[in-house]
Amino acid sequence: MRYAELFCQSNFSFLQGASHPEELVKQADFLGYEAIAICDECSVAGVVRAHTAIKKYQLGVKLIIGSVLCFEDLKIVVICPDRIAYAELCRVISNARKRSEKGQYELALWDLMSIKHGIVIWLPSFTERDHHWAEWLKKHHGVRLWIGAQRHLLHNDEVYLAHCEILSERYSLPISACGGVLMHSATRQRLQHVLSAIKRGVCVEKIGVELLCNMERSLRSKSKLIKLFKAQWIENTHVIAQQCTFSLETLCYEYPSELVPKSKTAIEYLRTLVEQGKQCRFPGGVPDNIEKIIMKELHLIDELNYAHFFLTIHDVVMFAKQQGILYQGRGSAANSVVCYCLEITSVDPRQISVLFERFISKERNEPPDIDVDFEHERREEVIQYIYKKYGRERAALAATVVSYRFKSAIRDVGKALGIDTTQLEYFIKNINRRDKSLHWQTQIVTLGLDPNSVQGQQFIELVDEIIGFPRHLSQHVGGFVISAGPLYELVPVENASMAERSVIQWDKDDLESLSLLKVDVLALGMLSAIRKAFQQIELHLGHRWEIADITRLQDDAQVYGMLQSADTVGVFQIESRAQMSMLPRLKPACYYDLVIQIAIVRPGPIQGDMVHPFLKRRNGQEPVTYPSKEVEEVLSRTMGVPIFQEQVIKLAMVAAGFSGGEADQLRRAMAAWKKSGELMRFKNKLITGMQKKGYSTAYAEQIFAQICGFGEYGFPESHSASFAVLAYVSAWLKYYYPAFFYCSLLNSLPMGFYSASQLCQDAKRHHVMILPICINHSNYDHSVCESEGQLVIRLGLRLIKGLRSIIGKALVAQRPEKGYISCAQLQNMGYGQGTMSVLASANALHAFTDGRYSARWEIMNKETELPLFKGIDNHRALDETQGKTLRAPVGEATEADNLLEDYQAVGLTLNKHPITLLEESGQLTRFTRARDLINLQHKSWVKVIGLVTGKQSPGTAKGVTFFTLEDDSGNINVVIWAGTARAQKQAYLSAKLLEVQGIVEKEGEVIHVIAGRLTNLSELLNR
Amino acid sequence: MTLCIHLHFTQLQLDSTFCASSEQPVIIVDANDNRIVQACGKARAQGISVGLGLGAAAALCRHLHVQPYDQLFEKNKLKEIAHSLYQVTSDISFVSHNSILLRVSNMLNLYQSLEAYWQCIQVVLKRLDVHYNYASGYSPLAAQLLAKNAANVISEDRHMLLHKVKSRALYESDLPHTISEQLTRVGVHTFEALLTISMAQLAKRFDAQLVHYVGRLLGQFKEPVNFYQPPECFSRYLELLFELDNIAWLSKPLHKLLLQLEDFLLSRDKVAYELEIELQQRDHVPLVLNVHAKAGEYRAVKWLTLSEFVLLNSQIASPVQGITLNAQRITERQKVCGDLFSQQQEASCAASLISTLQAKLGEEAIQGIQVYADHRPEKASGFIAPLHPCSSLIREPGLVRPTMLLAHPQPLLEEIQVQQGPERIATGWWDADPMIRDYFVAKDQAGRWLWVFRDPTQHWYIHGVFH
Repeated sequence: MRYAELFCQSNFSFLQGASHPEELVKQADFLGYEAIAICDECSVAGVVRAHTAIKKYQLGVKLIIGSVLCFEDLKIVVICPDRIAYAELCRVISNARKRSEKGQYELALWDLMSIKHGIVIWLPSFTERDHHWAEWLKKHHGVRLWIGAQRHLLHNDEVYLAHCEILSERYSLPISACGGVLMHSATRQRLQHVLSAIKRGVCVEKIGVELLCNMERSLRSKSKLIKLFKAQWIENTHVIAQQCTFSLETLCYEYPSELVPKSKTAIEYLRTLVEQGKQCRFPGGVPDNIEKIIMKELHLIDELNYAHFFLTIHDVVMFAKQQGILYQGRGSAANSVVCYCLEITSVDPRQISVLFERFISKERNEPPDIDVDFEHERREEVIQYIYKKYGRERAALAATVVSYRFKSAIRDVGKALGIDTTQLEYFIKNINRRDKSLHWQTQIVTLGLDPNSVQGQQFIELVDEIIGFPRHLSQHVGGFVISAGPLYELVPVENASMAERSVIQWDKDDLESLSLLKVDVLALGMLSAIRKAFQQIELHLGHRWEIADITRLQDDAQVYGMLQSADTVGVFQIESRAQMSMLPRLKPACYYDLVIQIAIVRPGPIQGDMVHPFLKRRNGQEPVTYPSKEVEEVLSRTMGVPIFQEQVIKLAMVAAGFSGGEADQLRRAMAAWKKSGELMRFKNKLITGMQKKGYSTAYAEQIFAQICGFGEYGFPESHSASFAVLAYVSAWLKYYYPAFFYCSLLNSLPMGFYSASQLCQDAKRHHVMILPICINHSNYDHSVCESEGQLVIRLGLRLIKGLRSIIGKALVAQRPEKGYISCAQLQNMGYGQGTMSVLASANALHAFTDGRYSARWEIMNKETELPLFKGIDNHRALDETQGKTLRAPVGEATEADNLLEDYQAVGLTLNKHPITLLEESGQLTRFTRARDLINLQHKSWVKVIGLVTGKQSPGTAKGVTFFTLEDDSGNINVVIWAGTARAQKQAYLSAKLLEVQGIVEKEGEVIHVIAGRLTNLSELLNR
Repeated sequence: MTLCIHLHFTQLQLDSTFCASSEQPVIIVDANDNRIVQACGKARAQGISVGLGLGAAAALCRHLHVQPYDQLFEKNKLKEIAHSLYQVTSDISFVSHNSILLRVSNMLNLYQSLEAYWQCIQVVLKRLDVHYNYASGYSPLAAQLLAKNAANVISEDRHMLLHKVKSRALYESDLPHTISEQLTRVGVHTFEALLTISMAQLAKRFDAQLVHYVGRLLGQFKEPVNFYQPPECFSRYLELLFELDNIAWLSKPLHKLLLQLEDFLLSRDKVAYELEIELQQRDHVPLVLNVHAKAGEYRAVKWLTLSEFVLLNSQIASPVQGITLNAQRITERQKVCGDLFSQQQEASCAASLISTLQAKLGEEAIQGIQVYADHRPEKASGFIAPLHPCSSLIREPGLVRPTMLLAHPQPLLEEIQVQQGPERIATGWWDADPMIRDYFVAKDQAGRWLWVFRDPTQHWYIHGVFH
């Protein structure tokens, strides 16, 4: 008996389907189905996953693409026999989706009429209207129309099927069996019920008869189906499946052709552009070896037919260049000489030995990857350019599938089971997911969930089951798909939540699986900061810099000296705690050291235990050896230790004989290792492969352990190389133009690791003076100006919380030549209470008031707003005539008052640090300051106090949290072990001001305090 | 200006709920935000303070007894306190759910001095065993401010009281948060500072609320105050001239009391919903009987009929010496609509029928029925309290269900002919009664149409009969 399931919804029919597409195809294959049609509601979002699963597990079941569509009381399944029918379905879905808000759809009768190639399976609704629809459908779909008969063991099965037969006879429509499947196995019924409850926003118990009454909407065994349906109906599923020959494999993608002049082919045009680029990049002539690489790269690009891809990206970056938007390309193909010539990247090939094949490889058969980072504040201009150039028909963003994660799962499942919301919030708030040693299930039991109750068990199981279930589609941060023809013939397009944006129904993994290319237009704060620094330098000092100018100066020992001493607050990529503690050990001295530095302080290499071997080899404490020539070739640039993702893949190929395709699978398995644990499949193959090639088992095991450690965190060299350029440029700016550096960072916030307050503290430590916000001197942005022959930073109005940018800019634009002279003047100019009050709070009016209190007292006077008093500036005089003073009736604000208000209004203070104030007022007992830690002995006892400015518990360091404490002399690195944290939970979780007693650990210049006793001193801040 | 005393009861619920000897630390928690609003001494000794979150408290102390905060409870308790105080002082006013204001000035004539007056008040409060803070003041607001901050001062000294007020910080007052924040932002942190600013200056900068507040605080503006009136209730005792040992004979004396009740209710245009009849038995504890009238009733005849049913169902242990009649739940009489056929009329008829039946058969014997949305036949309908509004539920058309459902399925012991099915019902995993059954419509040998099912163990049962 042959059976094809023609109506099956996956969990991409959000909150309906209760199984992943992968599970459905696997189960269908296991049950011996001939084919399975994944037909999500007005969507094809899940089909690529099903397709990939069939390929990956080499399943025998055939995948049919389709979708179920509802219009009024009509419900049909449309499945695609061929490519034309598929394009048609995509168009219908796109139209229906575009008519409606994100996540909804609205079909029109016209859409249904326009289906001319798809096979229509009609699911009668068992009402009078069925006769109307039978005639209508018959008229428009004729021989492509079938009746889909479902049998779910309901009370009215017999009459319903009889009704279908009557329709069949009267309108001469053949009947096919179908399952209306929502779950791959009957065990998913509970989850399906929970999903239904979530969809309706009530708890399972309350939905009642709207729930499925049994488990029949799962994939059922063929022996059961024989009993349920007439033989002919089952045979008809086979007839329909036979007609469906379309496979996603056949989708091919054409790049827009308008970029290439009519007279040229794409590769010819690319060659011309590269030729032009050479003149500009190598004014002194291209060195021979580089010329050779260019030839080779172009040859490879031609062979793999990627010319359009490079041209598309070139077009986008040229737009950015014209607009003065700073950008930097990265990714596997970006660090090629071709990209350097096309000005996609500034990585000078002479500085890094570019091996293009390292990035693009014929045998690996993976699409080239170029991500372009743009200034974060101006990326929107680039996006709009793309939409304008290609239109919304041909350009759309890739989707991101937003899935259930821990918190949303707890919340939604809990609600569906009728658990009290406050209790759920209590669970969520108090479960410490950072605590890797205590599983959340154990923690939730200590929080009061009864593990022995039925409800408690169901809750835990269902939460586990629902995690990873797709919840809705969202837009990818910047992955564009641009095509030659209308995109909706390739994949359905729907509205994004942002206006004027559209997203396709597939995410980046889906695109990759189908080898469809996307262009990543990403945003990077550091680029904004660098551009602003360049502009300010040019404005004040008349010198014009570009990124390429700085890299061309070659490595600067002074700059590297600064990096080696871990003085990197604000420097791109190497400013984190972990990076800072590694800098004095790695001592980067050239560009490639930076590339390694960026990649090595990542969870991948740390978990794979590669950091210490590398450090030892670098310091000459361990010999650099290679087990073979091939391995040497792969690992020589990192002293025999695999650090980059590319190296690991390459190693699998040269040392274990993986084919290109297998290596690609390995790469994906690494990416999904935490989720699926699929990596173990490769263990055997890798180890036996390496043994066959003569490597020792121990070495093979070690390599596999490293691959596992790499997991999803492996960092590609190609990205690291691009980031290193920006890291170097930002460090260079910090060293040579500190005032401009800090100023531009402040102007580009939010970005990076540090707050405005921390950046200002660091600037002061570098002797950069910072002037407070002043209504008469500040611009809207922070600016560099001269004061007493020195370049200083004047804080801008943008720092003031609650001040709208349009008002801030107006304040600067309307400022009289001699500045403002009173609050009343500003009020008369129309600035309302809100604006005046935030200005007063930020102490921006100090030019003409005696501080915050008096400024507020003045602006609170409502008389100024009365028409009679308008225009009278000098209210002091007016009040004096009444013999009263207008000053605030109480004294000046104290230092502590000002400190608190500074933090509230602008988030930082230029006056005394809280620690200084607390110490001066005698509220702190003796403690050691950050700058004095260096004088302590290794392993000695210490007490430090500081504001908690950072908390990190990286996945790499099991059970450890790193705290950053800030006192008035610098930052202190505190290490807190899980046990310590658990025993002193209150201080650990909630302290803003923390006292730590512990042991000093010194390793070279790296100093940590290992916490013993934690005391929460936050109360002191409130006094 | 009149002198007042403000009494602020800090832990009324805690004081009235638990005996002090409880071993377990007790806290009262506001369920809205899970904050602790009251904590007993034992809890406080563990470091639990008012305002702390429940989670934090649970972390500090494992064996907490947690009670949800109940404002209504406190309100009722406060009424009881007022009732007790009413015995010694006249002008009592409720300020909030946990504080009371006493107007002192006009009581001083009676008590001669403030000290004597306060002495009396303290005696009453001591008997009630409640925690409270107190203060006197020349305006209700001033007294309240001091009492809430535990000033615990009773004095007639104007100067000293004003000084006390001035020393308070603004955040300790009932001023709206926005206003006290505004004041803080111009450096005014205390009442001392606030009261140095002239009203005119304040009026220019703040809204009328603050000016009004200051005026009330200084006693310059009068505050309207509602004074407490003790509630009305009906409670009468009738001593029997001779002991009665036949319960049926009680009707007559009871009728006498009921007529008094009728007068009481009629004159106030009220009805009672429940009567408590307390029969004093010789050498035995009194027998208490409750009689209900669902629709409310004032007529003695009607109450007598209902009472007789209850009396007939009761037994006395020894002869009755006296009867106490308490009327519970007395409210305004609902206006009966003039339309004879209106639903209201019908409902009140039904209600009186139910009252009669319950009086005669016992309360549990009368039930309403309700349809529920559940696939499981046993759960698709159930009992509810009589006259409880039913939710309207539309059954799926054509749903095959028998006219008569057996309360418990019976094993199928005879041969049947299956006519229709199966209908599989497999659901209910979320409660204690999950079910997997295949239902069939079948005909037995006698020609009856049965609703039968088969369970996963292949046992067959009859669950209903079709007519």
